[in-house]
Amino acid sequence: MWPKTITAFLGGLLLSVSMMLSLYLLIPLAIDIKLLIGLLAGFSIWVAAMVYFYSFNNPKTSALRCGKFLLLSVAINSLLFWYQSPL
Amino acid sequence: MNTQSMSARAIKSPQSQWVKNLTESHSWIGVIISPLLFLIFWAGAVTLFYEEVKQWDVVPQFPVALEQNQVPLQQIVEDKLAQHDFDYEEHLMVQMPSEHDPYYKVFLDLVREEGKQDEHGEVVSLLIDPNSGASVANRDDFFLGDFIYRLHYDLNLPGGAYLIGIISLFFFFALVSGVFIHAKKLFKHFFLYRNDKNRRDQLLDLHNVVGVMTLPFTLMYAISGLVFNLAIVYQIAFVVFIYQGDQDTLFKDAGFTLFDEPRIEQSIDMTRAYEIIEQTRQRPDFYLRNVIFYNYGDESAIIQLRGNDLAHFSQKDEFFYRVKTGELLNKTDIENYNVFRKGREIIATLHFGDFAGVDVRVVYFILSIAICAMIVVGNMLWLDKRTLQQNVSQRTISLVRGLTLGGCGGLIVATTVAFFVERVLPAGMQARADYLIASFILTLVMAIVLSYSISNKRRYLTQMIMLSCLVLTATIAADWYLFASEIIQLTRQGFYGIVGVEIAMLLMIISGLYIVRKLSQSPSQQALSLQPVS
Repeated sequence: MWPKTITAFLGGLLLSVSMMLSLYLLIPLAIDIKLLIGLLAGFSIWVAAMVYFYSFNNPKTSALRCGKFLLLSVAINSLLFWYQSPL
Repeated sequence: MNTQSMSARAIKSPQSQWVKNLTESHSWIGVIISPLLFLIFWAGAVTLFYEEVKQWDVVPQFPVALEQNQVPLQQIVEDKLAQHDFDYEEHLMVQMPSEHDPYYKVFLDLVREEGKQDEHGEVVSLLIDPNSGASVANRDDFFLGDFIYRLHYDLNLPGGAYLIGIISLFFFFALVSGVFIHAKKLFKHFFLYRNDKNRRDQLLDLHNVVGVMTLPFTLMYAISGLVFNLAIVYQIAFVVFIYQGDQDTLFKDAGFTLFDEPRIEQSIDMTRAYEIIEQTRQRPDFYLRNVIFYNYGDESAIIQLRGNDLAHFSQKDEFFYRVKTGELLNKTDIENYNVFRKGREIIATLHFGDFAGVDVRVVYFILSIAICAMIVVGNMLWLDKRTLQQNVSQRTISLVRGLTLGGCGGLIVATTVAFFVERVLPAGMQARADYLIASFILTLVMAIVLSYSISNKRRYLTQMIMLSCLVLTATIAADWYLFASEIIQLTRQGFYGIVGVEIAMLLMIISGLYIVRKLSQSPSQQALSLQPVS
């Protein structure tokens, strides 16, 4: 259970940070609203990712899925940062 | 919400395998976080009555007659500045008296010693009688309320806030995974409690019913706990990726106003500041909570006034004034607010349950105690199952059993001991707060150690409850022996918190005796999992 926990905790953290940044860049709202949405969505994504990673039978499958999602999310983030200024 | 039995029915389908994995994770994580989660909810339940506990603790020691004329705030502040070596580079904070707490509290940063300019210096926190202007005590000497509050949010440990944040995260996971595990029966078995079934089914029903019925409350607590204790993670991400290292701009966008103007070393009469404070105090539907002075006595002086808008839900107002000109530099009120900051304040209001009367906090307290029971029952279910399995070591089972009984039970005994010690220690005693902390830790450690060495766990549980009842009785007796006339006089003046805390202690004693009676009536069924298997 420990390897799965490490994947769920760290993978969930990285994925949530990455997705939260994408959300921030995509939502066309005032900065203070985006910050609040980002904070609440960040924790929700983190826990949703943990539930997803814990649902696999073994830690290896869990880590592989985590890696795939993370790569996809980082790629989207890179594109967003490339095409628009964060502030 | 441990429903391991449901996953045993059809392990071949991917869906049930998914549920089985989640069930294993739910129970595994639940057991690991259970001692700290119990501590968080227990300390949080007591902290719901922070103001009342503080009143019970301090006011009988230094009774205040509210009808007398109060000393002007300016005189109080300037007297304290004359008496202490205040560092004028730092800010000075005054907490105003309230209906629960009649004293002014003045916080002064003292000048740092030579060679230690980079460190945070000593802060003096004075409790001041509003009628005489005299410092009656150091605020930190009466540490009980703050000690329990800090146990709740940072365990009184450096870095403890992050640990509590991580526990909140896993608690959030346990809740969400519990919903998935229990999803099929969530509505069908909403109120199901099978009193006629075997012990395991009863425990499972108790765990599930409490889990489902408290779900909105627990979700709110998990999310708010994360917002308070682990927001640093996203703060760092925002600063690094969005704000390119500019943390001040992030704080500004999040609605936190910062003034860090340097002193210009030209003195000014601060009377204007106190006129502004008095004007602000007179605003309709406004309660001024505290005042912060920046650059006190200098031409660059600024005052920050913070208080509650009593006409709107969870509205905290804030005003910044330049003392020299009386100019309003910045304000936050119902018409000018930042969504992030307002959102955070609403989360805090929901978390503390201070948006209505005592009744709401009593409901919060009952829910918190129910969650404490759910945590213990979750551990009992885990112990029941693992005791029958061959693949879990006896050492692990013994550790969980000891922590559940000694840790959770010991925490309650330690809290009662802390209340007793706080009441009987003399007010002027040196290092008073240290004795309080030592008594709490010693009791807790002894309870845990004894839980491993005493074989009859059930009798030990009964003894712990009886000891708690005895200590609480002694505390009430000490209250009346030491402060009978003060308590009567203060209650007449409207300080109901003191008697309120005593009534709460009395109810705890009655509940404890009821549980002891129940335990002695059912010889073998209850608390079985806390017994080692022979």
